[in-house]
Amino acid sequence: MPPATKSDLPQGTLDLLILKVIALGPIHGYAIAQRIQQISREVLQVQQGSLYPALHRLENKGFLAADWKETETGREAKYYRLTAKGRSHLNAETANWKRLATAIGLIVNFAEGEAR
Amino acid sequence: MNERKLDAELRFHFDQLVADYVRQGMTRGEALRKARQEFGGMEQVKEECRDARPTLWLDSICQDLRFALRTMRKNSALTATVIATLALGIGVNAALFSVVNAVLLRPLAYAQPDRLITLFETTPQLPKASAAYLNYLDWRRLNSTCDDLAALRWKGFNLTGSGDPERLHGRMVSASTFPILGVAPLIGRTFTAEDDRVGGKPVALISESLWRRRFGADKGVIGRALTLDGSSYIVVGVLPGTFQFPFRFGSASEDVAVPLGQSTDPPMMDRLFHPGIRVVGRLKTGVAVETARADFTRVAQTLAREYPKANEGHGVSVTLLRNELVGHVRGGLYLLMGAVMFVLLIACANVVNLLLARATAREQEIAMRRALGASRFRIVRQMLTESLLLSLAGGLAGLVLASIATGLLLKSAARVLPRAEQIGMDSRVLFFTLATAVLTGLLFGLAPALQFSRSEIRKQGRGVAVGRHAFRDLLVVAQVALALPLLVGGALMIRTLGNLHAVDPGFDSHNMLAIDVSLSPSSASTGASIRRAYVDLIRRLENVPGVEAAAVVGNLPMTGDDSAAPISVEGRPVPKNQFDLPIGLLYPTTPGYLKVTKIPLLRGRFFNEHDNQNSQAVMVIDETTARRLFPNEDPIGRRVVVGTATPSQIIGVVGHVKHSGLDDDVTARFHLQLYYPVVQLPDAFLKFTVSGGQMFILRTRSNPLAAIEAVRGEIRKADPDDVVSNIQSMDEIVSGTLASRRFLLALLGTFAAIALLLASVGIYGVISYSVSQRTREIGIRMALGAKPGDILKSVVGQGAVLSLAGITLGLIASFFLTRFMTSVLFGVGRTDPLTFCGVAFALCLVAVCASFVPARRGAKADPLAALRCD
Repeated sequence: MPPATKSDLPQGTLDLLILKVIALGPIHGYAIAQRIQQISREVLQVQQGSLYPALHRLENKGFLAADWKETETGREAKYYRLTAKGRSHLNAETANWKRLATAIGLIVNFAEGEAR
Repeated sequence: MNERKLDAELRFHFDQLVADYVRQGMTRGEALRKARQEFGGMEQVKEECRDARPTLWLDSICQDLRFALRTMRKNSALTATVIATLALGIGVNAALFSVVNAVLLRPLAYAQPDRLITLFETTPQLPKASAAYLNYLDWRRLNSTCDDLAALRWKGFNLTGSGDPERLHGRMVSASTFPILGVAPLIGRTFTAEDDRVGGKPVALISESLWRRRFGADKGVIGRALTLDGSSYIVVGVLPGTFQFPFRFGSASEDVAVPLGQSTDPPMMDRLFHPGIRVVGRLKTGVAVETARADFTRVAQTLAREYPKANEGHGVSVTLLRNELVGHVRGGLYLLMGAVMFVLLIACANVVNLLLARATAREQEIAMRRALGASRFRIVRQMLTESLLLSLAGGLAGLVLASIATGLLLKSAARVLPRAEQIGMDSRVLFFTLATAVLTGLLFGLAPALQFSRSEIRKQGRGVAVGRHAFRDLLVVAQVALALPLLVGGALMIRTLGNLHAVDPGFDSHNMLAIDVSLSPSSASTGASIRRAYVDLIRRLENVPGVEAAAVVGNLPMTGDDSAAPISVEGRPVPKNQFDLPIGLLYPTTPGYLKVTKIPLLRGRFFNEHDNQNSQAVMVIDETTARRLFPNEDPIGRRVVVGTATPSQIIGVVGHVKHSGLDDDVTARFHLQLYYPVVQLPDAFLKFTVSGGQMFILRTRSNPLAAIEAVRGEIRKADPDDVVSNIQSMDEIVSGTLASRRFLLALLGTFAAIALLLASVGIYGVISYSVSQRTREIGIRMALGAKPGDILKSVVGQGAVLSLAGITLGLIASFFLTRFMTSVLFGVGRTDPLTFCGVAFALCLVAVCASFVPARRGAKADPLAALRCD
């Protein structure tokens, strides 16, 4: 079974989304998936097959830290939070993304204008 | 731990998912199904999470290890076989390496050993003579490339006084010896220049072991008197037990040292004598051996001009001390090292074979794991973990084997290898063994791992790929090809030793005893007392029951002890240079010598009691001397001059003795052998002769060793202060000359035997495997009318074809490899056709036998059962 996100996120984008969501406050894996889905208005669906390896990778790189805490329902869950290193990485990546998005937007809009 | 957390994290996610679906209105069953569908392979997610963090690598390695251990336990028979095979292969390598390490690799135990050299005097007849003492003094004074030189000479001492008299080995050494070798005394001091000259105070150094043994490690020993050879010496220091003088004889411990420069022995004062002095030097920092060589050549030329009578044509040979001490065994050890590597390769081939067979059985499992998502890398790693674990276990067992083997080796090694006492385990041996084990593990693990990691389920049908079969056949061919040169080497050594044993040494060594006696100080004091002691001891020894004859001799035949001098014939023109004269070996002895040795008297007579110090000096020569010096005349009645002594009349001719060894007579340094009455030696020489211990030889009626106790008792009765230090049968001495060859044969033979065993196991394994794979074919053929005999023939034929291919390659390899053995062979060519054919035939026979057993099993199979199998 090939693991892939249904949204076909470009490489590295998933990391950015995860970091952004976690930046809002400590959160566990399931909630991250939910939050991404909600915020993107159901456009982006993150498969656990991609989510967890990404979380572990980011944790391992030192961008994330994790604590085991009780949820509202009283179960133990692994809550991720952003480290200082993760926050600066997020800022850099966000700036990067915005530049890239602007650039792509310019090109796409320009091309549409030409076609008309 | 991490594993459990990962599981908890994913399980939490899963449960949340289910809970969400239930909240959305699904039944619990529906929710579970949906969640499972969505979640996909839980294991796969986990695996990727593990891969995402290298910290988990260790975990997965532990997993691999656990799995490998489990697999090994499950196949305990196979595991044991593999480990035993590897233990043999790695064990022989570790054992031999510990020898090579101790003898060749470890630096000499002296300060800055790389700057230590040794010097020999070279003469027109001898490439390496010991230095004349006066020449040594001049070398030391005139050279400009060495910090200093030291001179050492062996000496035996009789320790008397307190306690039992004891025979000690030791040295006369120059004071410079200790700073040059960089040894500090345990307590007290070493010698000073003051001590190291004629007229110096008699002082002595003792070894730590003597200090503990005789003096109870008392620090007050300094300044105490020690009675050596009847004279009193003051102990000035104790040498540490870790220190050993260079140029030791065998493994004898050396307990005493006295200053060399105090000696007033006549041979020490004369440049014509070379009284066994070894010279060691320390090169100045940065000076190359070649530079020193040139320097000493210049020094030698100066001395030749100054003392033409003694030094004309003499030079100095300069060698690194290390090369001098171990150079002669280097070739043999490398040869053996090559042999054990062959053994290891053969062992590896066997293990590859076993693992291939098992991997075939595990193909299903591997294909399954591949299908379940294990990467190829992961499977290769898993299989390599297994093979490394096996090889490390084998290495460990090999280490145990090696330490046992070196223990056994040590006794025989001490006779033939310098520095043998240092053989043992150290960090370098451990590292070598570890490295060998790891390399071996990679070598035998990689091939099956790579081959089988490709396994896929759909290919997993019946039968075996042909390529894989060919690979196994190749392994058998390689094994046979590797084993053959070892067997040829062993066989050549057996032929060599057989030839040597058949050589007649020129005397009858059976029922002969050699006794080293140090005469008591009172007996050794004057020429007259020494002569009296000889007569008395010979008479007493001849009265011992079972003893037929006894004699005194200066040098025992075939021990390597030489006393030699230039020989000239009276009345013939003396060459301008005395070194154009032939050199003869001298045997000062007593009338009973021929009766003891049974050397045949060819002409004239041997000397008797009437040839004494008051009568005409007489000489008996051997047939070689007669032929060389008197080719066309009768030597009897002619007179010869030995060195600078007065002329002696030749009274008889006796047979030649192979003094230089059974093999070496043609290339020996000295051929001429001369016997003369020991009692005719001048007093000073007589005293010099007995100071090193006097050899007595006996002929007994039966087993000479049985007479030892009676002989000891009789000598004690003659004088309680006489010390018997060493009693050996002459047979031992003769066979001792073959010790290094026997050592080589023992090792090479062992390796060849292991190689043969492993190779036949390999053949057996491959043929058994092929029979089991061919069961169906055999069944069909038998159903079609083939008789068991036909099957047998076909299977054995397969084994024979493989081994013949291996034998052919092995013979070619042997043809080249035996080149390294040329110097140790005797009476057999290195490519001796008979040996080659015999070994090839024997190996072929073994191969056929090894394939016969599985072949019979195949042939006995019930055709119906064979058809039904699979």
